[in-house]
Amino acid sequence: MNSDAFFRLIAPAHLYFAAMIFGIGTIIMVIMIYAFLYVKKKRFRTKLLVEGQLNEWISDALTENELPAIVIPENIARYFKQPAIRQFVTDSLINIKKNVTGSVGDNLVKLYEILELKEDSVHKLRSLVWYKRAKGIYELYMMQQRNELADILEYTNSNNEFVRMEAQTAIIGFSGFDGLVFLDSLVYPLYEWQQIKLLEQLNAVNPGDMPHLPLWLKSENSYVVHFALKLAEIYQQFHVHDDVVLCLQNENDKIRKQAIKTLGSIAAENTVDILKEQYKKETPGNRRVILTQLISIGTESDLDFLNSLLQEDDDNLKLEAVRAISAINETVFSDLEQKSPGNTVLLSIIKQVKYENAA
Amino acid sequence: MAKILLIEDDVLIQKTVCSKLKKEGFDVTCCSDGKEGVEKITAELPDIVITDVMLPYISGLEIVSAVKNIAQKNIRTIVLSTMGQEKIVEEAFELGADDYVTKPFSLTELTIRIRKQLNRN
Repeated sequence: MNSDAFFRLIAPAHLYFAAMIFGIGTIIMVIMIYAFLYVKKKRFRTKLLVEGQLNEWISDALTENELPAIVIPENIARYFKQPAIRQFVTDSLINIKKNVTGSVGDNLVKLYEILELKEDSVHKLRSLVWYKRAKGIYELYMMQQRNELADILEYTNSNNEFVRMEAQTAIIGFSGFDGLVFLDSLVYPLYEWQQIKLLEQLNAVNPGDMPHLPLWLKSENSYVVHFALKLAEIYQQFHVHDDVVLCLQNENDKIRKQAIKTLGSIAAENTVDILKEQYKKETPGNRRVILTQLISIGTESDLDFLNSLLQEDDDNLKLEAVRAISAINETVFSDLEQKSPGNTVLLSIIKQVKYENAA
Repeated sequence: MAKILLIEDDVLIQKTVCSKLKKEGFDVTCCSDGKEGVEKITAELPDIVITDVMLPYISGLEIVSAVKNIAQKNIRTIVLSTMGQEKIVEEAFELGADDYVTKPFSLTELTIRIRKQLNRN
């Protein structure tokens, strides 16, 4: 830039124009900050006002008797129409409900219904936006709105992962093992994390006979089969032994692995022979799982099979075989050391198993 | 009147439990973090400390341990745990906790447990 251009740029008219822009900009910014602070302060005051009233209602709920008639005071009523305030009250009630049970919890549910917050949750449940729908399901579940069960059940097979997970959690929360009926028609994945969550939820519930279990074990959805195998293992559902054996033919390694574990838990007379037969067809990882099962269900008649595995190339398999031998017959295990002079790998495996047994 | 100190970082839960215990006739003091809790324990020497496991600054377990080191008074401690914190509860008992309640809990049950501890005193 030459000096003429520079002096033209800082001419009084230009400077005046720049100062005007800067001044107006500053004023607009100050107004915006002021407006923002004003709205924030107003919201804070409203929240405080509602919070005070909410505390009174909660205090009534704590009496553990019938809730007195709830009347929304006029000064609160107009704020109570605001979605943000209603959401605040819902969240607060849910937060307490999560931590308390008994009649206080029931009173909180009544309060939620009296304040007509349920309508908001139902509205969210029917929303087209997935996160609103998931939130609606969560609220209805937390506030034990069983009469929405049918609608929530539909979402257990939603194509949205989060909606689906929330709905499945809700159904199990409402109906326990009977809620697992959603597995009958589930076509979407049931991820490991969700399986863990559901199993944790089911932990405190009586499993019963699980009549749908054979159906789930034959499901076309591999996630359902995997979860059903876990259920059969944890709740020792002996009546599905033969259906679990069929799962050993599944193409999916993970399912076969879980089927092997499940058979270990619900073993019948022929289970060990089936597992030994399966051993030849399995991946190294699944072979290890088979040997792990033999530790608990193997018998003297399996010692020849286990001894034959000591010639395997895979040291991990040898280790599992030695563990199984040690568990089945202590004397045979003790003789192993003398029968394997010079086999340094096997000797160190035996040493490790001895150390484990001593611990 | 039995003095109870409630240490719970969730303000809403704190208010709810506090309000219930006051209704039951206890002299209740509440605070939201472990640091403040320890200060109140040494200053007020309550009969019972009810503490959440997860707290800011100082954990519930450290509070249980601190309470047991107070020689002037045999202060009882009740730990508020959540499902799946069995290991922590075991640790709390090893450190000297007297009882525990798992969230979600019944406020009536909590009150009964408090009275039981007071009777032991």
